[in-house]
Amino acid sequence: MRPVEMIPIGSHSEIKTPMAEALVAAGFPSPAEDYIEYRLDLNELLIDHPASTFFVKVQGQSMQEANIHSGDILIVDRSIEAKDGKIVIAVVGGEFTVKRLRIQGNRTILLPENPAYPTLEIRAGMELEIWGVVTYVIHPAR
Amino acid sequence: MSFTQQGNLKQHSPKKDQWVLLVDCNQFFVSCEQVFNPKLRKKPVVVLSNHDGCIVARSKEAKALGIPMGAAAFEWEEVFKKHGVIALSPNHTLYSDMSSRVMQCMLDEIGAFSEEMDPVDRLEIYSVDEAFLDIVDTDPLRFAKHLRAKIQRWTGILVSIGIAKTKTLAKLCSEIAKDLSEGVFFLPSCSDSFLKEFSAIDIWGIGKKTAEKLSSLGIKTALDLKNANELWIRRHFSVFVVRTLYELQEISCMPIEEVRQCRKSILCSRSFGAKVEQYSDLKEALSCHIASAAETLREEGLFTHCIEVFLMTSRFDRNPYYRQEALRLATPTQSSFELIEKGGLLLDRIYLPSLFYKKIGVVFTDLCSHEGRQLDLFTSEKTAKQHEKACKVLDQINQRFGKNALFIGSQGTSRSWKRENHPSPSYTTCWDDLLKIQI
Repeated sequence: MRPVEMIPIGSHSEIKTPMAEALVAAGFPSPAEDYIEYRLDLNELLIDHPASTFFVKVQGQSMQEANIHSGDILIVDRSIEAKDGKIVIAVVGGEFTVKRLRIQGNRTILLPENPAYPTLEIRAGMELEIWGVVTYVIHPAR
Repeated sequence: MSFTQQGNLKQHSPKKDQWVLLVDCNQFFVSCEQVFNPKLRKKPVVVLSNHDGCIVARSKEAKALGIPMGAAAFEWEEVFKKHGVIALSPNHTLYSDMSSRVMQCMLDEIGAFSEEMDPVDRLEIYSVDEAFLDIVDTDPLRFAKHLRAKIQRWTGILVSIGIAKTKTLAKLCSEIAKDLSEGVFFLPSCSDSFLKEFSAIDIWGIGKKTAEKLSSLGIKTALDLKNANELWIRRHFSVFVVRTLYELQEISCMPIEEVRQCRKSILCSRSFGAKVEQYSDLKEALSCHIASAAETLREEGLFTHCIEVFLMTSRFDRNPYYRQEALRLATPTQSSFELIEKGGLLLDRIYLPSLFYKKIGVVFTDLCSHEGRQLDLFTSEKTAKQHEKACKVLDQINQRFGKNALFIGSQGTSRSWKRENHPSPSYTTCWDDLLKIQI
């Protein structure tokens, strides 16, 4: 009887066993890989021109009927043309305000959205600057 | 753009409709404050340096009162009181953000006009309030006026624009533009009579010592320098002066996008040849830029208070990406290690994966010299010890601060001598600091 030859299994030898289809080096393979998209981003939705977009916070009641309430944050875009009917941030007599802009012929009027507040007509000699146009109003659900 | 070489001097003749614009924000720090506070407009306003030591920005009205740039604030206390000058602590976070908006406007505008070259390669951010643009346009004056109006509309910042064939000439033109109501000055071709009006020291890149040496050798005006023998200039002065000479001759020697430095800031950036996506590659490139710029700081004996990192993809991408973030340091530094560490933090904030980046850069702003650093009394014991050697002027500042509420911060609070620095709110970077409007 020949002695059984003992063949040591060294570290270089391989025992092949079937394995589950390979794990891809980068991670689990995914059929969605080609379609990676980013989560929805509010900036993309709400801001067209980051360079000209600013946020302001308002206090007061004069724009309530436009659904702008005290404590709200407004998104303001300076690049948008201030047309008749837009809600704008304006500077009148060195003070900021938020009003609806009305342009009727050569009359310029700043309208509040609350009957308890006065209309402001811009007359000759008054300084008016349109700082920017309000695009969105941010407030919690009430 | 093609370049020929002569020695180590790259020269290139601009194409027929190729122009360099220098866009310079007027009284930038003051202007930033005035955008959010209309009560500061048309008034004498100054912005002070860190710890309210020196005057670093003045409105036109303050300039008209004779208040000089760089003066120690306490020396002008009486003038401030007498003329109702409003003195503000600096808010570099705000200025940095407004700066990136102005630069973004320019990028937008170049993109709109040119197709064949990535706009990112046509814009060189020189400092927080200046940039060079390289454009090809048959009507550069119209372009510049349009750009100026756009920047004013979009950000509220008014700029002056100089247009010429080379950077050096564009810089001269922007100085002229500052005094023009339309804010733009175009030099279609550079004449001798134009150059005669400028002394050598008015020229960008010619410092006091160089100007004195030139003057002693008979070169007093820009025209003199332009006409000087270049080989002789090369022998007696540095290669920078030779480059300036060529630039005055409308031969462009300074391509957009080199390492730039000036008293106000140090910038280091490069466009990538092939676009880069990996964070590690970006980090490495950024670290090199930071190390290089920090070396410049140390060579110049300067320290920086503020580090900005910017990152951009190609303008031609479907969704072009440009972000810039800044960090203000508690103590000014010139250490490569510290700056690389901070730069890494900023990169973490602005890096998005799966984008192909075209350009990365770093800017150091709010620089101070060693002397300036010693004025940081309240930073640490170490600097306080350094302060022991400081001159009696410093004691006077302390006394003044203790005596009266000299400075009117934009929030209207009076300042005690222990708490300096009441900067304006960070209107664009801090939710708690939003502009508040009573409606």
